[in-house]
Order: sequence, then C-alpha cells, then structure tokens
Amino acid sequence: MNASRSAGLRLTARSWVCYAGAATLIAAGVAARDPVPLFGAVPLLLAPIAALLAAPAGSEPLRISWRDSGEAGAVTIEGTIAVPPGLHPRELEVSLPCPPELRELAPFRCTPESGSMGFRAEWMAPAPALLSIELPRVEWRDAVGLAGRPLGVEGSPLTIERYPPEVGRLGGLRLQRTIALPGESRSRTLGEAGEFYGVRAARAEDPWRGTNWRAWARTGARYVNEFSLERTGDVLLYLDARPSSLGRQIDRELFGVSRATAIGIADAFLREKMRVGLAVFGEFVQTVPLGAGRSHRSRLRDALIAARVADTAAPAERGAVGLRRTITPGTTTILVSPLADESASQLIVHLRRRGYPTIVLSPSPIPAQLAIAPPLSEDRAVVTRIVRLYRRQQVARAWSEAPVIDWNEYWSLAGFTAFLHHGMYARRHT
Amino acid sequence: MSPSRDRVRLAWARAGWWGFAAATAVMVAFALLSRAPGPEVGLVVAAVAAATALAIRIVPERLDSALVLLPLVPAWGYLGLAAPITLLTEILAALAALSALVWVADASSPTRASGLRRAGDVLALPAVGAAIALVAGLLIPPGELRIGVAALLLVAALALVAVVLARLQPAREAPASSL
Repeated sequence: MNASRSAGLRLTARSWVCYAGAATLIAAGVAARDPVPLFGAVPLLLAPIAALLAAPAGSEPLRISWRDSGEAGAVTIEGTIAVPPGLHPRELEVSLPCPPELRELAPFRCTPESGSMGFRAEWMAPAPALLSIELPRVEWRDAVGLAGRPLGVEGSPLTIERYPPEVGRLGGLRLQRTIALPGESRSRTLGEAGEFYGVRAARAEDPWRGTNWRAWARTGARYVNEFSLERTGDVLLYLDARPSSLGRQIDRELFGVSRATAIGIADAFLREKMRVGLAVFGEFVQTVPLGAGRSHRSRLRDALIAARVADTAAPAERGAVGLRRTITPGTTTILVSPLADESASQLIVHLRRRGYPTIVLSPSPIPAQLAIAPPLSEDRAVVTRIVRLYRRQQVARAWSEAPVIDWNEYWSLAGFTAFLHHGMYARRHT
Repeated sequence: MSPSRDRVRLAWARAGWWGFAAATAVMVAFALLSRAPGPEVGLVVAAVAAATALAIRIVPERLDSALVLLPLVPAWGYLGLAAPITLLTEILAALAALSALVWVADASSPTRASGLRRAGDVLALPAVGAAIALVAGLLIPPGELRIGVAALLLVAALALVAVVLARLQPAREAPASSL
C-alpha cells in the first residue's frame, strides 16, 4: 500500500494549545517591548511542525487478533495488534470505547511489546447482552502528541454473548411434534447426523468425510452415507420489538435482554439438531426461516444483533398474519415480550388463533423501572408493592391465553427451564 | 488489584514526574532572577503555576496533558517580564518552553505508554530553532528592523507549512493492475 506520507495526518488539539501559548507570549513580549518571552514562544511554534515531520510513511493495515472471555456478566477483552516494520508500538494510541450496554470495570489498558501492541478491556454486563464490538481505533501519535494519523485495522468485529447459564438445560426438551397435515408425520429427516439410514450416489457438493469407501470400491462409483435423525419439533423464537408505554430507554434495555436470551435458547436447541426460526416484530415482522446447523446460528445471531426496537407500534394482528408466510403453523413459539401493554396480550391471541402454540417468556420491567426512577426511601416499599401488583395483573391477563413465565432475575432462567421440563406445558403435550 | 488502587496508580503515572521536575526547576531559576518586586513573588508565581499544572495532570482523568500550558504560559510571561534582559534569561525562557514540552511528552496513560524516551525526534527542531534565535539575538546588532520582519515571515511560513501538511488529503491510488 503506497499511501502518501501525509495521508490522514493532522495536528491534534495539543498543537493548537501550543500555538495559543506562543501567541500569548509573543503578545506579552511585543506589548512590553521585552524579547525574553519571545524566546519562550519559539519552541512552542516549532514543536508542531517537528511533530508533522516525524510522521512515518503510510503503512499497511494493522492486523488484530482478539477474543473475549469471562463468566456470567464479566466481559474481558484481550487482543494483540501486530505492528508492521516502520512503526513502533509505543507510537500507537489505541482506543476501544465501552458500549452503553456494558459498564467499565477497569480503565482500558495497552501494553507495548516487541512488534505488537497488547490491549485489555474489563467490562461488566449488568444484564444478559448480545452485541457486536467494532474494531478498536488505532492512531499513530508522535512522542509529544502534537500530530496524529489514523491507521487502518484489519480483523473481524467481536461478538459478545452473555446469557443465563440455565439455557443449556433446554436442549433435552421433547418439543411438540410438527405435523404438516393430519396423519402425516415429517419428523424424520436425512442429513449428516443421527442413525445410519443408507447410501446414495454422491453429488459434487457432498463432502469427502461422508464417503462410503467400501461401496465405492465395490461399485466403482462414489457413494455417500445418509443418516436419519428423529426430530421432535421446531422452535420459533418470537421477539416483540414494538415500542411500549414503558418508554424508550426501558424498551431498549428489555429488548437487549430478550435478544441475548434468544441467542442462548437458539444455541441450546441447535445443539440438539432441532430447527430454530426467528421472528422480530417491530413495525413489520422480520423472520429468519426455520433452519439448523452452525451457519444458521450465525444467521440468527446476525439478525438479532441488527434487531432494534421499532419507532412505530404496529397492530398486534400484523405480527401473526405476516408470520405464516415463512413459518409453518404448529411450530412451538417462544414469545419474548415484557407484556407492558394490552397490545402484547392481543399478540398472544392472534398467534394462537393462527396455529402457533405459544409460551411467553416475559422479562419484567420492574428492575429497570426502579433503577431509572428510584422512589423515595419512605415510599419505596409501597411503590414497589404497587408496581408488582400491577405487573402480576398484566401477567395474569396474559395467562388466560398462554402460559407465561414472569422473568424477574435476568441472570437466571431456572423458572423457564423448569416450566418447560416439568410444568404445565410438558404435561399438556405428553 | 482493586479498581481504586489501580486508578491511584494510573494518576501517579499520569503526573509525569520527570517533566514536572524539569519545568519546576527552570521556573525556579527564572524566578530567582526576577527584579522588582523581588524573587519572592517570582517564586510564589512559579510555585502556584507548577502546582496548578500538576493538579491538571493528576486530578481529572480525561483532561489533555497539554493543558499544563494554561497555568505555565502566564507564569513565564510574568517571570520573563520581571527578569532583566540578559542572555541567561533568554536561555531560561527557551528552556522553560522546552521543559513544558518534555512534560507534555511524559504522559503515561492506560492507552499509551510514555513518549518521554522518544521525544527527542520532536524536541530537536524546537531546540535548534531556539538556539538559532539566541545566537541571532546575540550576534545581530539591535535596531535591524528588516531582520525582525524576515524572522516573522519565516515563522509565519513555517506555521503555514504545518497547517497545509495537516490538511492534506490522501492521494487517490491507482487501481492495481491485474497483469
């Protein structure tokens, strides 16, 4: 890459502070007809020019390798930026701003090493979170910090996934069987996993791993193995992304929790080779059709990261009507909605009417409400009780249409998993 | 390590003690040369400026280290005007500015290591410029207005070069050939 020497080069705010200081000294010297302050101004005038001249020639994009670690809500990001010849790690200024969904536990730290720059950020997720962290910004700076130049960084954004650990227990669940027509069962599918079913002539796109070498030796043509997998059912994760009366901030927080939990639930079912679909209902329904496999997980994750709370609330019926174009009725539907308004309960009615057996996982808005507008200490108990009673009434209203799990503690889905394994839903369908 | 202890350690590193020592030493020497109302006032001015600059460096976490110039420049102005016009005070004025730049370079932060050791590349030109100015002030007879105007034009031209260099956009590169 032949970038010119001056590409992106700029004077920083420090240079203008130097020039302002020099101007003050010159003014003082001229006003008092005294040359002494002028000699103080000379280095301040020349330093920014020297900084620009010290800039290195353009370099190739810096390669970054980074990962995240940490249990529960802890998010520790560590990485290394490879520094090409011609640049020194100490000349790099790296910045990685903490996303608003997370909290900074310790200041962002960089460690210059030989030929690379290590960095480490320690954040904390107060609630389940799913977000994509953009690449860090890297800038060349001279020693005094008077001039700078942004440098390109090559790498992939980092995805942070933090969801309740109980989600892992969902995998063994026997879902309601998906039946396309009465009397016809299509639960058995052929693929690369399950029990051996037979062999067939290989196609060009078949991987070599599945080749049946003995059949090839006997027949002279390449054959591959086929496996049959008993699939008990499909899952649709349905996120209500309509704005509610709770306000934009609480809506965003609860939707962030819903997104993170949705990818956790999807992960658990996909590990068991089940098909998982996704629907996000904002102003319109956006769906990811049912699918399985690792690439489908990436598809779901990308769709969830891109999903946002809509600006306009749509009528509840639209959320069920639009769904039938891509998702087969009869698919077990997990609706994640805070049930803040009457419209959310209506959505359950419309989903059930159109043939989607629905379970509602409802993140409670109470923790966010009390955090945003904390009541006075003497009123706290009364206010909390009233808010809880109102919430209980909303949940009870929704219960008349579908089973609802009131989700108060965001880092635990024990109630949800216990309900699916042993609760009313399990008894009803077994 | 606890976050609070970590923050204290970082604040300590932010202070840039070598730069602080250099800037304070030069100002104290400057103050000792002050005439009326006396070196005591000069010392007080130097101490207040140095303490304020140190507080600017340590206390706020995200304030730029170059802001140490805010208290230092008025102090230099006062000390420069209070000192007699001699070669020594002119040298001290130039050294004061250079020591402040050293202090700005000595800015260890969590995102960037201190640039003190490699500050020589940037500080060489200002030092040479100050030396040339001192020699010129010593050798050129007083009353030569034309030389003063020429020097002013030179400084203005240098500043213009800096601004032009800073605003240059990257050149559009030719597409790579497939051959």
